[in-house]
Amino acid sequence: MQNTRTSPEITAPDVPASSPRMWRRFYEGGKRFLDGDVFDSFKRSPATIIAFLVTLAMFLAALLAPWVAPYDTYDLRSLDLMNAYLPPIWTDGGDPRYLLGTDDQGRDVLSAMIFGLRISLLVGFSGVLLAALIGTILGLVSGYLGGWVDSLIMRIADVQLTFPAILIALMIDGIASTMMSTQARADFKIYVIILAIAASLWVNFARTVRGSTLVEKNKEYVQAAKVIGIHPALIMYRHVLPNVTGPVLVIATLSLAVAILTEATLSFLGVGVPATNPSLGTLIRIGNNFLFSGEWWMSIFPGVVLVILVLAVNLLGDWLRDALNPRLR
Amino acid sequence: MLDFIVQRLVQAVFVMLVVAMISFSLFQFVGDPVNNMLGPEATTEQRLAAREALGLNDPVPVQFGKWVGNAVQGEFGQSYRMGRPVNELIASRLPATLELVFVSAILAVAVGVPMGVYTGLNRNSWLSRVFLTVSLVGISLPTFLIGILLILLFGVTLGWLPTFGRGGLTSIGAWETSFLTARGWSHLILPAITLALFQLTLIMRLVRAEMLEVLRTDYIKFARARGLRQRSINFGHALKNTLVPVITIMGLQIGALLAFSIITETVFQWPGMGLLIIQAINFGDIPIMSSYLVLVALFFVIINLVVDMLYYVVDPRLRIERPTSAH
Amino acid sequence: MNARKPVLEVRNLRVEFASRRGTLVAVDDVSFEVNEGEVLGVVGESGAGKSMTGSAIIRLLEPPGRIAGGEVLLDGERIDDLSTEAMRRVRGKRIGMVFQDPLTSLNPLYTVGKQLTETILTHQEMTEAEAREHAIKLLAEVGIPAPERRIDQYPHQFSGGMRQRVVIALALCVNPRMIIADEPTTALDVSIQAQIIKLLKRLCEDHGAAVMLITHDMGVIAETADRVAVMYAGRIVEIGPVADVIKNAKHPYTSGLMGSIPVVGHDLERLAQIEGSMPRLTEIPPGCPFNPRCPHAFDRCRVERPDLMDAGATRAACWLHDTTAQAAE
Repeated sequence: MQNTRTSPEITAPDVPASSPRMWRRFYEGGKRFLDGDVFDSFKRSPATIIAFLVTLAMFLAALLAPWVAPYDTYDLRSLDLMNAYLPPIWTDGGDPRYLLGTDDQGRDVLSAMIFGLRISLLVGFSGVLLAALIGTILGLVSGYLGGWVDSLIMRIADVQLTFPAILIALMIDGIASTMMSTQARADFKIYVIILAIAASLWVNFARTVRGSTLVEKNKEYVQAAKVIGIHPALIMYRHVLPNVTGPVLVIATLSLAVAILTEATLSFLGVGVPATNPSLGTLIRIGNNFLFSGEWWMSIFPGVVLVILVLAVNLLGDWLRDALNPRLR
Repeated sequence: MLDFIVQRLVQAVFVMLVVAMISFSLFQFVGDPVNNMLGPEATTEQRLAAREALGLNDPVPVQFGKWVGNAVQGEFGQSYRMGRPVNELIASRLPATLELVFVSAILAVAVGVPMGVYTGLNRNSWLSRVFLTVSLVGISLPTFLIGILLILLFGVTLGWLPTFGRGGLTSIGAWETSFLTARGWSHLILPAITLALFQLTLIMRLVRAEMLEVLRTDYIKFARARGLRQRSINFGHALKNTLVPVITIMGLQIGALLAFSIITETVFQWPGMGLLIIQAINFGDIPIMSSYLVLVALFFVIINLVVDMLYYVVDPRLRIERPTSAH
Repeated sequence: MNARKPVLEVRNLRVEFASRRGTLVAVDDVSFEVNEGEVLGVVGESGAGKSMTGSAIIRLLEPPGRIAGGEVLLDGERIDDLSTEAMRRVRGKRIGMVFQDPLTSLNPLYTVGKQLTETILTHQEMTEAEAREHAIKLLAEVGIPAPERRIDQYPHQFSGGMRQRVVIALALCVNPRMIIADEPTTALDVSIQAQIIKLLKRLCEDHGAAVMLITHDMGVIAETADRVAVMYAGRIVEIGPVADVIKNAKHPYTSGLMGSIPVVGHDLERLAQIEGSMPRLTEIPPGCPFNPRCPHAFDRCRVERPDLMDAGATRAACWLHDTTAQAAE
């Protein structure tokens, strides 16, 4: 045996992609999941199954919007003011071409909703992803390094927690409004919202990951790895991250619901995504102007879709939390 | 004891200073204050005079010092858009928001906490299931949608309640209150419910989770093993232990109410700070924005201080040092 | 010794858990009694059903665990069928309980005195002042210095050993007939364990309380108990006077356990170890649950389950001691 070889258990590189071992791992992972408690509790909860199917359907609709939606609402040529204010087809004056009616521009409400869903989910997902990334990294750093770095990060988190996303987004937007042209501001807005959502959601991730890091840090194998001289970053990547996947997934799911609501709220206030690229919240805001004149369908349908989406995601998050933490059942 | 309070106060002052710095930078460096005040037609001499008058030629730390000095006295300059002193504008709007937040907070806590305790103690009763289902819908409904639905139902369809602005106000000095007339309350009730509902369901769910957590602890099991009465276990031992996290939650949620009041005020055209700030943001009215930021931060800092003090009262582990000899 | 009256009798106790893999039997057909002034040790690996038996006796099983059969008698009177309220009055007053972890057994928000007096006042007619006086006396009795001062302190101001003394005072404060001590020293520093065990034994003698001492530590049993019951996979496999069980164990599992106690001065090269591990509740084999690990197992052990039978000075659940079968041969 050569001296250059170090202990294979600890330093063996990750399984290379497409190796048979990787596929076996996938297969076994999948099998374990299907036999496991998590999937079993899923099978036993009809509400969760429905929530999952609803979420899946909405994701697919959003993803495939250009093919699913009856009209392309971005194509201004397809709009005709002659078709504006048409009610849903089952009411008097409904037009068979427009299932859920049209808005003040003659846009098909159903199509606008599907494209709106796309924007809402895009913003929500990006916000949560960014928050999870920032939160996980800061949590790892905070927990692993400890000392003043830890105090500083946690203090910022405390302050951050008291400032709701809406305020952050409003402030950033307010500043942007004085510094940018209207056009630039509109282009920039979607990023502002994603950033604001991430800024308000990272704290939960950071706290959870930090807690878990603190626990793992003092375990013997981590200490042993350190003695052998393995880089701390690698230790955390290998040992801490797998332990927090569950909690992070739960937080991410519940955060997605919050993110979608925040985006909708901001868009409703008029500081969200611009009307040229309407999200569900924007559609509700526009529709709200016509609510009292009787054109209820413009705001109610997007509102219902929004609530169902958030409800489904919340149900999934609740279920996931309970399934991964059997004590709570 | 004194240590604790001093430490918290220092922290509060530090947070306020940071916010003041952000606020000051907003005011001083975002956009051009001179341009904003004088308009594009002003001559160069006028501009220079204005710069001098505003103290923009002083070194930045001096400017900051002056700004903080003014801010402490409630002096935030003039609104670009309305040409009135910011403090006047805020003073006229503050009572509306504070009353709204106050009523909503009471509603959210007074209903949310008992519901949380009930569902925590009676996990499997049908009423708990109803509460939980309702709460799930509650946290899935955005505030603005709740507002719209309430307006549609009670305002438009039933016509029972006004849905727009304040009314029936009584002046007590500079403070205009809704609390003293039935009409004032009729205007307040829908916005207050709208604002409270989301926080209420959130508080309920969090209190329930805490309650379940505490009921699983060893000391509750030991209290049962000592044969204590169920009542004293639930409402003495368990409830008191949920108090600490619940106080934190309530502190955070009351803070959030202030932010969410922006939405409620927009939906109901309630003439408070929220409406003021939304308009300021749309017009880039920096003095109002920066003063709002300071005010909100002050509000949060005060809530946090109160929360810390309450902790201190509730939890002996903070109040009393453990003996140094303890192993 | 046998002339003494039994304080606690457990007859054919069965505890079940409903789980998604069907009903699990955590305690199966367990019978024993604890006589006046006696210390019965209950020993076994974790998961053997020791604690479950203790919790079942005072009816504090965590759901979904439930008593599925059997009887529990206290001073000759059934207590397993009492109403919830009547059972509450038994707990603390007639059966005291000491739990494993003194750090978590006391409510952190109440003073030690408050927790003592509330227990006393729940079960006895007394004035507040009398209860307090009694509490101070108890604290002195369990060896807490300066009890007049310590009574107004909070649990976090006590060390671990001191806290366990408080817990013992709480268990004994209304002179119960019976104390169930569930791993009372496991969470403590080794240096304090002996003190606490001695204290418990002495106090129970003084107060005339019988003790059921649950532990996984044979050393503690050897020092304290009069008789010992050895549990394995939810059943009692051997029960008898402590000296006989230790020196002359009749069940192969007990012999194995005894082989794993280090004996000072013995020239064994290494401690004997039982091959394999206790089966999980889902995988209890047919016949004798110990048969896969038993060096003496024969065909009958794999088919037929042995009940406790006389085996010299003790009673063991093992076919090796089936005298009827041997006579028939």
